[in-house]
Amino acid sequence: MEQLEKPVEEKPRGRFRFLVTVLIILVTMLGAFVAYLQTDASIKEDKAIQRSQELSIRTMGEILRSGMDTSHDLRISTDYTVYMMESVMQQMVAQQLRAEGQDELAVRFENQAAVWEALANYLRPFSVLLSDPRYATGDEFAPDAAQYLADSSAAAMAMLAEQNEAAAQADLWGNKADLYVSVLTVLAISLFLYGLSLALSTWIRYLFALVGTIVAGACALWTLVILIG
Amino acid sequence: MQQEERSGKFQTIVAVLIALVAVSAAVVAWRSAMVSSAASDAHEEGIINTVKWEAAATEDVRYLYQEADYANMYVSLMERADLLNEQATRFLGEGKADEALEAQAQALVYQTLASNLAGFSPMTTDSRYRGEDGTFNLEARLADLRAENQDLVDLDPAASFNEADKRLAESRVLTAMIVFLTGTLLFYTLAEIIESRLKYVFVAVGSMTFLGTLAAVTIAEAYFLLF
Repeated sequence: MEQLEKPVEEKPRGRFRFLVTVLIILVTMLGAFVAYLQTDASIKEDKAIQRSQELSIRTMGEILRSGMDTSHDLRISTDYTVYMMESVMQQMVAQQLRAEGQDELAVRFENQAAVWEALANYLRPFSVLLSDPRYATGDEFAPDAAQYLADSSAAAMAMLAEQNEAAAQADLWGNKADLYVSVLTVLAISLFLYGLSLALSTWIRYLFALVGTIVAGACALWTLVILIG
Repeated sequence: MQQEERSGKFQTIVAVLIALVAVSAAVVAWRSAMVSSAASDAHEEGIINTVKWEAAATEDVRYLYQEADYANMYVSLMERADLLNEQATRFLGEGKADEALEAQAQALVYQTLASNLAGFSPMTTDSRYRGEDGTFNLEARLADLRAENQDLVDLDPAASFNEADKRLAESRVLTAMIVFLTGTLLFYTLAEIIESRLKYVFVAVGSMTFLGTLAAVTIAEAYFLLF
């Protein structure tokens, strides 16, 4: 009876259980490692999102402020242009009056023209657009507005480019984190198959263990592909 | 019989060790989740402070240019009055009393308008805000406007973001420690199912890994607490 209690099949079954137990632990370790990679990818995604959000807010503020700078400069430039036009118009009227022999009236218009011109010139240094040699092209009515606008929005544009880069990084790491979650889900199937193989006593347990191993192997390979990609 | 009893005791000890590792892993996972949550809070605070800071900075600039518009109007009117007064002096020299009187009257109108605008901005009267060429020192005025809102000056979004980064780094380290604890489980499980003397080696290696991981967790927590 004692010999019957130690059947010959027990040893292969014991070895099988041992092997499957080791495999379960290895798959658990792989799962923990993938979970770490998933956390790492999520952290990188979070940091990129944080940077992207921060930069989008700062870009918005910068655009608003540079818009105010530009409006201020343009207002002074407009005043300058209006004053100069006023001066030119008064001079033209004065010339017309002189041609008609009304010298006294012409002098009054010339005086007014001189006041407007002096006033316009007084305003010049108040506007970057009119006083900065980068934009004051020599033609007082047509400063280099394109260059001025490009320069005034340069900081905001640089921030926008950085924000786009951060958003792209967030997408990249978010996708990786999602893929690691998929790997973990499939790894759970592998563990289920191993568990089932331990519960069964017929030959099918080998099939379950084999499929479980194939699934786990595929998961390891998939993890490697995500890690490298 | 004695060997079986010893083996039974060994298995019980290893089972207790496995349970300890599992509990430790759960505690580390809990701590990692807490730290991760703190990182989210710090991040949120950073975003809120950034919005506040940007709103305040933009409002300061808007207010600055509102003042600058009044100040420009002021200097423009004053300059017009000066020019008309100069003309009046010249007219008087030329014996044109009527023209001089008209110019002086106009100058007075502009002077009055300008003096009414003077109160709208200290840039009109305070020499600190004027450059040598008579233009306005907008940077100086903006600095003073910002200094008036000390609460907003003290806002430091970068500090919140640094705190969030620190917490995320801590969470990453703690999650990595769970991988080592899982490794410990492997060694203990092997010790539990192996009959040969090799099981003692696995217990020893597992225990070293376990203690090493616990020490690493403690050092990491102390580091992130102190720095």
